[in-house]
Amino acid sequence: MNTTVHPAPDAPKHGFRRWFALSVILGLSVIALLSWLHFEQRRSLQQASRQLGELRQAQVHLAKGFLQFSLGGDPQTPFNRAEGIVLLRQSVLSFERSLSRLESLSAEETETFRQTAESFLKQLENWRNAPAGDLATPVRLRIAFSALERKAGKLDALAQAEINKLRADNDRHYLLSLAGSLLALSLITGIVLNAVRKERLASRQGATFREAHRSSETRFRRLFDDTPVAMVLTDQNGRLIAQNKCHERLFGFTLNDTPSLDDWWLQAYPDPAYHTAVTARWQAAVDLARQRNGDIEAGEYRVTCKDGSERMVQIFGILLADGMLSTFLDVTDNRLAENRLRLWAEAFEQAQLGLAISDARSNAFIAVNPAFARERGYTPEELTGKPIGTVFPEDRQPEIRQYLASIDHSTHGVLETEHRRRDGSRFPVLLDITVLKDADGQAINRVAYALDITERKRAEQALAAAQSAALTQQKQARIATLNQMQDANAARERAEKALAALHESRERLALFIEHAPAALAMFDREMRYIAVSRRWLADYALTGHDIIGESHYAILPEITEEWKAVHRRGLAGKVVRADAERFRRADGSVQWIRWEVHPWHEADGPVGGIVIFSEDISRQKQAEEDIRQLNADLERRVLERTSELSAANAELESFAYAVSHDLRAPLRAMSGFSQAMVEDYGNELSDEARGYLDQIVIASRRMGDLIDGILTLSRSTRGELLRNPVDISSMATRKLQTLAGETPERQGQWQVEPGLDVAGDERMIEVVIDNLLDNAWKYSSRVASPVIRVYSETREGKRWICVSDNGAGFDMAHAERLFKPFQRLHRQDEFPGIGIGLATVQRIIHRHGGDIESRGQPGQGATFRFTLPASLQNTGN
Amino acid sequence: MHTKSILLVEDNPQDEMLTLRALRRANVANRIDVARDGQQALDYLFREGEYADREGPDLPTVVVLDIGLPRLSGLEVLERLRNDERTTLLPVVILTSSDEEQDRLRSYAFRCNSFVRKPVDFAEFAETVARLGVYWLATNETPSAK
Repeated sequence: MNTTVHPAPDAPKHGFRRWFALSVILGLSVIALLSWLHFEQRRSLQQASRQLGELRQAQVHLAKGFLQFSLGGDPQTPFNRAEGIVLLRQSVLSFERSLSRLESLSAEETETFRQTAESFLKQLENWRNAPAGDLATPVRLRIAFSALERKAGKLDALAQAEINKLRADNDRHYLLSLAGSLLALSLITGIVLNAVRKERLASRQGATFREAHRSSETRFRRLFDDTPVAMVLTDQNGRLIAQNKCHERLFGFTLNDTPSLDDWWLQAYPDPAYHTAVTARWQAAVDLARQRNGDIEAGEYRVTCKDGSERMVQIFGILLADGMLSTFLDVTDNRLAENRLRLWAEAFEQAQLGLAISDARSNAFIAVNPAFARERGYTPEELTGKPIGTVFPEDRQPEIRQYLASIDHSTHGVLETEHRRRDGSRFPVLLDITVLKDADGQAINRVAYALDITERKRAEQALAAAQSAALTQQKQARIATLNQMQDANAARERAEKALAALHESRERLALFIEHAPAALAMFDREMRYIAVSRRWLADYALTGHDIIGESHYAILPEITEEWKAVHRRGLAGKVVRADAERFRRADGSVQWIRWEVHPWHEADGPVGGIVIFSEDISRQKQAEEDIRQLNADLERRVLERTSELSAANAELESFAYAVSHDLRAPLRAMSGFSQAMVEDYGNELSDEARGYLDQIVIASRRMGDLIDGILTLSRSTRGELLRNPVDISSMATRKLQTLAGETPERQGQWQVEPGLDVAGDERMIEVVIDNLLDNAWKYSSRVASPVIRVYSETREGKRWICVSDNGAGFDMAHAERLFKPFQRLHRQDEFPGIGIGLATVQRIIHRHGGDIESRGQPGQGATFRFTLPASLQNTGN
Repeated sequence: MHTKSILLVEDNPQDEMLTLRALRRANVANRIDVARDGQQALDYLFREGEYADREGPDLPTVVVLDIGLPRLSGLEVLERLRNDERTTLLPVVILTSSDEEQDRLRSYAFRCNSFVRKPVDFAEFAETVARLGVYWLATNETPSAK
């Protein structure tokens, strides 16, 4: 580290300043020295780490290279043998480079490693050059590879140990420099405390130290973080102090996820059984390391990452004074590759399809799988190393040699041939052969899939037999055809009969058309008549002519172009129609025709001609016209009647007016002078004469009442009918109270149901209620305890307002007469009255669109009930 | 002495007789003139035609007017009277056999001072007329009263 020296303070004015400057320089020098040492340590650690990284890279290359090499022979796999060889060589070179750098490696060990590597390379070369059927070479290569792998592991461990040592040193140095820095800092701080006046300077000095400290820590931090090996630093309490980026990248856990080792174990080994085993194993390794005062031995563990994936990891540990540094090496890929290799080997062994690998130069089997050997009556071991000719019959040998020579150039081929079993029997096979070549394009191996096609051959023979059978069938079919021709003759006869039947049906159709109750004609494409109805002939004045086969246009030359156009449209397949068309005939009369033109189709589709249908609807039209005329007439007559009626009404009104006015005066005169005579000359008249005069007065009074009644009746049908809510309950109550007031001596009771609301003309409804209650009051006046009730009831879905009394009642036989004007069911001396009230009531109710009924029995009282239309009642609510 | 007078407009001679009898029997001693149709009534009131030189006061205290009159109806007479400034305030009592609502409403529309229906019963009639006379001649203060 380059020390950042602050500008020297101003020249001292006192001895104190000199001390101060000296102390500062001394302190800074100590810090600088320590920092440099620390930095140097860091550098070698960095180098060692790089070294280890390279070593591991080499290990990976070794594993990968061998995999590529061993599997690259099969073009079906994604491996490439030439690439494998390159990788293997590269890795050996890397290892050799590492040898010179590893300080702790003894000369003896270096030599052993070199020998191992050389031996491996030699075996590799041997393997390439080995003659076909040489079984020993691949085995030797595999052994050499394993040895090299083991040695590489040892190198790895050594490099790791070196790093660990360096790291421990580094830690010590770090602590030392920290202590030195602290010492210097306290020294300076002490001086600064004394130098109160130089407070500002001292504070700047302090800042410098803090920066230096931070800087050194940052460097360590960066190194730790950037090392391409996952590392975790834990303290003696098992708390995770730090973990580097690589660690987080590898497993995904942050310090927050796993703040302690316990947490880490729980998360990284979630399977409880495995968790227990791992912790025990790790604890044992830690205890062992403590005993030996060494490092914790590397072990392989299956770690579950944060995302749930699993990684195979080699974990190393270095015990520190106050904790532990753990290093994690991801070997997942290596294990994966090994697994894959094992899978391929297993597949080879287990395949039910015969597989054989042979040497392209020696033409000997390098390996065969059990299926291949079994099919031919051997064991795999027996066939391995044997010439491939072993499995071919003698007569097939030249053919196969020729074939193999040809496919060595092309890399792939398929051949159908025969194989020979150990017992000499033969069977057909299909060989799929792939040639594996080295980087120079030299054929090295052949991989063959051998399919026993005995079954297929058998099937082929069966097919051939079937084909010959088919030939026989063809012959039979030919004979059958001859027979069918005879059948066809029969069929033709049948068809002719059917055709005849069709003719018949056509005739029937013609018959049907002829008698159709409308003008109907069927034409062919040239508008020649095929069939025609009698009505048609009549309409066109053609009765008696045989027109079938004749052209419509020839018969009726007056047919217009317009009609011909319509016919053409029909022949084009369109349906044309008119519901009512007006024609003016030659004689000037007007005719209404409804017509339709329909195309008809031949059995096989095309339009064969048209059918014209026409109907004279003149009479119908005339009828419609008459009805319209009649309606208009009726309407006019109704209007006339209405105005007549209005006039009559007006007349009636003026008549009623005149009655009210002019009939009354003579009445008054009659009664008036009669009375005047009694008053003025009463003394001179006999009792009999006075009695006569009284009768004149009574008669004229009665006539006055009659006149009033007639006026009321006439008024009930005059004027506008208003529709308003009417409260019958209070109306009836008022009336009854008035009546009770007029005859206070009367005993009895009355009940009015509340809420009897209707809609109507209030003044007219009042006339109704007045009349009904007057009657009820009058006819119940002679019973001992009269009861009058006003209430509602619902019958036939209607609401009826009822007025009942328990008075004289009436005989239902005469009920009809009740509502007729001037008709009475009681004598004047029984119950006086003019017989106009109920007639008026009925007129008013009817005018409202309602109904009125009466019910009674002599001596049992009477009930009058009426309805007013619901809609009116609704508006009332 | 008796400056207050009545003009009775009545075309029915029997009604006229009965009315006059009722008034007399009620001790009405005032002058009572009778016009027998609408036109005559107007001539009397405006001193026109046959009444151009009539004697007596300018205007009666009250006019008792029937509606159903020959020539001019009672309502037409009333309308003329109200449209003439000399008679616009003249008290007019309609005394009629009609009980038509229309007649009543129109009478009031032309500002009649009272609308009385002639009762058919003579006793009632006599009493009604007597009360009318007493009321208008004795009780009521007329606009022209001195």
